[in-house]
Amino acid sequence: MRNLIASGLMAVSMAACLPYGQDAYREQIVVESWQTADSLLAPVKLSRTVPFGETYDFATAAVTDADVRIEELAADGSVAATFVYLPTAPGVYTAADPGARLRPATRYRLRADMPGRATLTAETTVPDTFRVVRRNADVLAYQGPVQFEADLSRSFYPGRQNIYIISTEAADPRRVNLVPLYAQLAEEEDDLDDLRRVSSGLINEGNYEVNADNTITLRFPWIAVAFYGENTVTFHTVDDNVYDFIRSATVQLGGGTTSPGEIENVIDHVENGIGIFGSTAAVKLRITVTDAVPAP
Amino acid sequence: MNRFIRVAATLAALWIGSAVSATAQDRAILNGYVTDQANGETLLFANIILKGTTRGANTNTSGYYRLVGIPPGTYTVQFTYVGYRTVERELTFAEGQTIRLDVALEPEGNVLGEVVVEADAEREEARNIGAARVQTQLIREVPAVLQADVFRSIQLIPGVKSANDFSSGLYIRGGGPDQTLILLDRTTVYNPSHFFGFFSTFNPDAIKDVRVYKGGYPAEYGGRLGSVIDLYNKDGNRNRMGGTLSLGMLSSRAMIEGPYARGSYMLAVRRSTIEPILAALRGSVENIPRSFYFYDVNGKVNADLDDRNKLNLAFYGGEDNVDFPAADDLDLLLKYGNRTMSGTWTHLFSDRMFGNLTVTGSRYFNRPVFDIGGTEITRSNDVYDVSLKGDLDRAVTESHNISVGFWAGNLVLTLDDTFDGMATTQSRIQTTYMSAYVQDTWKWGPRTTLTSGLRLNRFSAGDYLRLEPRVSLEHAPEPGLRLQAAYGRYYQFLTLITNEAFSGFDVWLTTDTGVPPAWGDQFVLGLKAYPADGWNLEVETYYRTMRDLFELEPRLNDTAGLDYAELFRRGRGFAYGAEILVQRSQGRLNGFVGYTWGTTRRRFENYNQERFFPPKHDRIHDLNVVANWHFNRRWKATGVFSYATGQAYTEVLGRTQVGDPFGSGTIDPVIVGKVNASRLPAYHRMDIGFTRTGTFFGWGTAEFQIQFINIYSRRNIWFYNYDLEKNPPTKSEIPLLPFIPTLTYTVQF
Repeated sequence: MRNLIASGLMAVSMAACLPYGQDAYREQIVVESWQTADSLLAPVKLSRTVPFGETYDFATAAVTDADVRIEELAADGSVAATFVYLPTAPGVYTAADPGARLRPATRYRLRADMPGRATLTAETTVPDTFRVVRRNADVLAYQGPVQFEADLSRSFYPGRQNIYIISTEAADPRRVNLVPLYAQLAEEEDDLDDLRRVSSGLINEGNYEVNADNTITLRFPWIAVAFYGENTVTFHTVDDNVYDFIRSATVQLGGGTTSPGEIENVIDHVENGIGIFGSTAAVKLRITVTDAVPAP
Repeated sequence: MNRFIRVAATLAALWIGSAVSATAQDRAILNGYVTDQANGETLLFANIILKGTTRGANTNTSGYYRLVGIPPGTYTVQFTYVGYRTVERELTFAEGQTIRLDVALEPEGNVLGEVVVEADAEREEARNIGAARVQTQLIREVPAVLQADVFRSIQLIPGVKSANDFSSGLYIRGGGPDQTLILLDRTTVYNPSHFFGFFSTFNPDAIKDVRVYKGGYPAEYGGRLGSVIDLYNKDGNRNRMGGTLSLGMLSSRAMIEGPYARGSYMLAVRRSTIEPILAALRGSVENIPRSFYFYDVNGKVNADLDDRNKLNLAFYGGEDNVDFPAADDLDLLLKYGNRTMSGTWTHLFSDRMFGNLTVTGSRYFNRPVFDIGGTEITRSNDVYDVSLKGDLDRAVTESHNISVGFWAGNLVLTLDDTFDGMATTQSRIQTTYMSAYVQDTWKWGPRTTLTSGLRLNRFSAGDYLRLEPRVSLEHAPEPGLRLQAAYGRYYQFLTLITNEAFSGFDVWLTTDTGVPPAWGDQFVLGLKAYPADGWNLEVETYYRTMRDLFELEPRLNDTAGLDYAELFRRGRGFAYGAEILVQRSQGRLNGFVGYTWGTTRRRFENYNQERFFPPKHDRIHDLNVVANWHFNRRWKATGVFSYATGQAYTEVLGRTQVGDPFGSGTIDPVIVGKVNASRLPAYHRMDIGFTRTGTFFGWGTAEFQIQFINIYSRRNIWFYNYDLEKNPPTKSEIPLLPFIPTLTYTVQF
């Protein structure tokens, strides 16, 4: 009987402690490559992760002995072209053909071979290009009655709606040019260069109505302006890799509906590594924002 | 719809058939209401037994009881209720006689004139499997941060956990807050929180009874996977006019109640009184809201039309309002709240049949507005729920009691989000819901009771029809010992978008095409024993499944243009555990010890490599000790000690960094292993409160309370914060409540 009770207690204890132990840190290869449709092939960066708590330095973490190439895939999945990448700095690999361009609406595969490791691979489908059809202003008063709007032709991405990111880059990011909100948020010791370029986050095309001419009108929110003066506004559409990477990285350390402290790895589409091999299509235009705030 | 009507009609026919088949009963019947002698309030789940026999009954949620099949003869009928003096009546029953006996029980404090509570060996409150009762006296006496709170008291019961010190959300037997149905006077309450989740909405002055069905709940309830909290407003004093005034550090309360020609009324108001403190801090302390207040109003009017008919009208309204300027050009305004109303007609059809019909209305709303640098982000979210529900309870034979009921309603959920004046989300879900149940309670010999039921649910959003079997068995091998078992299947058609840290933005969503309801099975085994006078022992074990869970995908940045089904991640889970409650309800030292050993897990598609993981609220061990010590007639102390296994969290193992092509900085992903595979340090805390009772200038009784929360200032950890802007990155602790003293002064007249 005593043995039976002991066995029962042991079974109960084991049941309470379902085997779910913490993993140990394991070094992984990180790829970083942001490609843009109809532009020159962008560099590929390869590095290693570092244990949490250690100082991060890309040069130290860089992978310097990789054999890197990007393959353009035909519709049937076969390799239509191969672009060899060569190391140009520690961990940075650049296309050997300086004139090679990324074709829109085309699928590409990245391959990186490193001694003693499985081949790192990742694929991206490049969004189709689009253009600005109309714009409503070149010069705008900050928080004035007219907000900047642009009519864009529609990009295309297979299997889903277009997803945008709008970013703004200030030409003259000095403290005197900060708009009131950012002037309040930026501490004296902050490097204003960190605010030079701000972005909207991911915006689904479903937020906008499609015009009769199959364009969509994107309205530029004032929150995306950090500095008065000349700003370059870029409208990006993103591929699945960028979409998943950004949306998961944004809420990794809080801000979503998960409980504080519950963290999941960023969603990537990289085999035998982590990181981002993603692509966008983008258009740029310039606006000037003045501080002539109208009286309330 | 036709399927639903056909099945419901079949259930009704079963009930009618069983009624028709009942043979004429020659034996006697005893029925009536049990009330509180001091104020005339009906007492719910009071115990009635015929001494010397195995016959007994409990009052229902209307305070009504019925004993059938009494052989002719003379008996002593005993009425008991915890906290009240036992009443015995000797009655002689003739063949076929029906005796209506309404009994008023006297609160023990009134009788004894002292604090020592006399207990009776035969005193047994109705303790159904999975059920627990929280006395409002406990709610008022347990030390609580800034103000007494109903849900904080419920969190002391074994099997019920809190997410953290800042949340009044209830995590019962492994389920999340949306798996618990919250009913106030039979009306669903959709966001039962104030102060963004810190307190529950229920004013302890206004609440008469709190019944917690932790699991295996009976067929008369439905709509949630896990549990039910059934609260009732006070009816109001039927004997004399009285009231309560209470001044607290965060809020103050006033309640008035009394009789009128046909019944009674009660009105209770609570409002935050923190504005003067905020005004004093403004200017010297940063980040003080421009305005902040919350209030709630509870009311109830009862009309006793005759001895067979009663009407009551109950309402609740509560709201939180904050205007918080976080910086120049950065404003947060938030308004959220609930309104409920219900009207109930209670009718005694015959000596054997009791029924009630209730019309309910419930509304929940939240209206957050962010104004960030001239860009306005708004949300307008409403839930409107109007329903009709009815229950009939009939003693068909001496051994069979059958209940039938229905609940039908219309639910409208609207969600309108705007960004910079542009509509980003516009959602309107309108659905009807209908459910019907039949339940048979079969007294299978003198010691065994089998309760079996079926509940049929129809939910129009997605067109779902689901059947839920429920069964429970109770066997009393000897006096003072009851063995219980229960099984039930449960469906849930709603899900809640919430955040453990903040409940002010809560949004409810429903099933629809491609989003089937969540469902689960529950198995419960229990033992209830009364080992000695005034002692009570309860042990329950449970196992439950959660299937087809649907939750908002937490990594969706933007929902515009997505199909409804794409908003959700699907998953499953399970929970099991054991709970022990040892309670002493008499003597100078009384209270209880509650211990829970439990485990719960979840698994979602495309998350954590589809492995089961413990949600943050999972704790293997959870212990609460509540003790009251009566020094004398004036002074009393209450202490609460809580211990729990540290909550689950995800340890960050590594990091990397990539450039941000859309911004100026970097993106700093962290590398983790299994989700929530680590544990925070164990949680423990001790609170102590002292209460002095006296008189208020001869006008009424006065109560002064001083309470100390976290007396040894344990720095429990809520979660770890990782700062990757620093290189090397840092990990810091976000603590829970520090030491907090609280003062309350209450006058009762």
